[in-house]
Amino acid sequence: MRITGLVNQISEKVKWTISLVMIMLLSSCTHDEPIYNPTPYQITVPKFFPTRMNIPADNPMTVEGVELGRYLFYDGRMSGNTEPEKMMSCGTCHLQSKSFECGIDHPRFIGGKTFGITGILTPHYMLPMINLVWNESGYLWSGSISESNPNPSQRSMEDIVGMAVTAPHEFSGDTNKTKALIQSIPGYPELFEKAFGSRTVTMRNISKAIAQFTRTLISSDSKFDKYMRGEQQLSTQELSGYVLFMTEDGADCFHCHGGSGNPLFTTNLFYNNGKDSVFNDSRDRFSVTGDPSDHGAYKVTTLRNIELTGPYMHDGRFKTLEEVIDFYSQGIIWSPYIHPLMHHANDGGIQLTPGEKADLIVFIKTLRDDTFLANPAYSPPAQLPDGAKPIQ
Amino acid sequence: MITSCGKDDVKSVAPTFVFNHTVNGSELEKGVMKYTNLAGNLYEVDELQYFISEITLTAADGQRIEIKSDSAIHYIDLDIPSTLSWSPKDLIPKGDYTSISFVFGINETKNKTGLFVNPPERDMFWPDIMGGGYHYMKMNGKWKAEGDIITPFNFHLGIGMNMAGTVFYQNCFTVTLPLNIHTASLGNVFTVTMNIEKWFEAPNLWDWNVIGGQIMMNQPAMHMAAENGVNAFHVIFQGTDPE
Repeated sequence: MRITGLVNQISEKVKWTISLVMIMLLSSCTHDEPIYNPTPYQITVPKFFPTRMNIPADNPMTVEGVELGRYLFYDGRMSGNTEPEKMMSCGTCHLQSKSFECGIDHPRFIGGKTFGITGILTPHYMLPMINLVWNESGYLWSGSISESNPNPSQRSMEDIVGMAVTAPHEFSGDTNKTKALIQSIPGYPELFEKAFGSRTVTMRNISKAIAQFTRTLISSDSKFDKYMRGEQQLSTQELSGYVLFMTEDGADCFHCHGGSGNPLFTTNLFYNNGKDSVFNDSRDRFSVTGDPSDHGAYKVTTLRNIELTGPYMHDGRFKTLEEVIDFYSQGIIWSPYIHPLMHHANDGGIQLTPGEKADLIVFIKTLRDDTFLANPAYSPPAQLPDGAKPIQ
Repeated sequence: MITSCGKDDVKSVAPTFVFNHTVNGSELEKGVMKYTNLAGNLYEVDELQYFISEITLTAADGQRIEIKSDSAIHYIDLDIPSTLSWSPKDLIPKGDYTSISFVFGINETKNKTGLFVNPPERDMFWPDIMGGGYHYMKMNGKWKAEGDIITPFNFHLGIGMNMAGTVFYQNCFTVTLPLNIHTASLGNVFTVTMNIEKWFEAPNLWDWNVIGGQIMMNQPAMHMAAENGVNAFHVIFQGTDPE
């Protein structure tokens, strides 16, 4: 009896499976609906770069997702508006020519100080959007957007996109309005279907697409990269600056900013680097960790393309690289919270000579990556899916 | 199944290594200037990151069992709790052991730039122009210098070099600690404790006011630190057999 029953059960399963296959075959024969089959986007890890990447399991990189993300990144209608004066996109502030910051000479954001659609100033100056696929230590100056954030909607790069749409100091918008507008634009539903298998535009899929595009923004072809790969020599002055950069008795930049062993040129960690003695910024690292040693600590920025990304520091207090080097040389301010790696603090800084400062700056400028800055894959598309011009 | 669970059949056991950090017998309290070294320097420790490698157990019969998982290298970081315990894939034969040894840092053969490309180990890199590879240790903190001036120190160890940068010195060293244990069916936890004050005691009295806070480019100081470091550890074993 039991064997007979088992055979019957198997027969039923076979019949059910055959029926399912028939239905699928008939369906595929009678409808022209495209099959959701996105193409995996392969990131080629540059030589010496990390092999572990911060790509969420629920948002794998696809060619279609990156393509869609690029359109959305540069589409001013992400603000939910169609009037030119009210439109804003990620690309409004994040300029490729400025390593995806706005730069100090932006015609709209004077001195590099950004503000949202309604004119509300952003709390901090910008951080570059380079090599974020290798950032494992949280986003923004405080690193607050990380897996450890108690708010589940503020943990990933994807979450930042949604936050940008609604933040008063950015798009000051409404996610329902944004997704409805994007849904209504010819061409987008098809792109969403190719990328995510559905023509219905959701804020989550908008965020996923833009995050995918952002993760493709990889800088790995500066003069220094070429030097490391043995393709190009550094000048005598650049090498002098490099030695200063990499030595404890020199400028000792490498402990925080990386170097030959860390080509990201940032640890992506957080340090109080001696800018102040009083700390009352509600968005410093202390605001995230509650650890007193994090008072006045902020994410260390990558030095790639740094010559293009002034003004510098979280509050933009330094306009030029020269001012930054002067600060580290003679302007360090002691406080109980200063990081111990700022070991020249009691001397006011690393006390570089004018010649050493010049050498250091010349070396730092070898980190400008012209290939990245001109990469057409990162540029605004010639036109948006409906034929409109990108409005940045 | 029942037979295989019998304690007499357990021939290999899985060790766990736990890393503990004390000052004068008490658990290290980070970021609090409350410790005084033998030279009389008041100090605090804010960060502690280091490698140990080639953990080797010596059995009573002389057999040496080396832990080989993860290239035999383990990174420890006070700020990353997951690094404070390591359960390698290796199994060790059940039996009597008389000593444990490990390399503090990474040996010359393995300590090459590029060994680690991912954080946090990557951020221990040591400049190529100073010999390359990785810091064996970064202990960052502050001490109260003469005149009551709070001063940062960076007690960093790695490959040393002479003033001309033409000769390099491998400052990693082997720590050997006696054991008198029988590995058990359960537990088998080796708690490796770094007694931080010992870095500053013997054979070389460590006075930051004399030596200074930074030693990466001071090979004689790194050599002194390495000599002291040999005495900076002890180990406790815990394991239980079912009744």
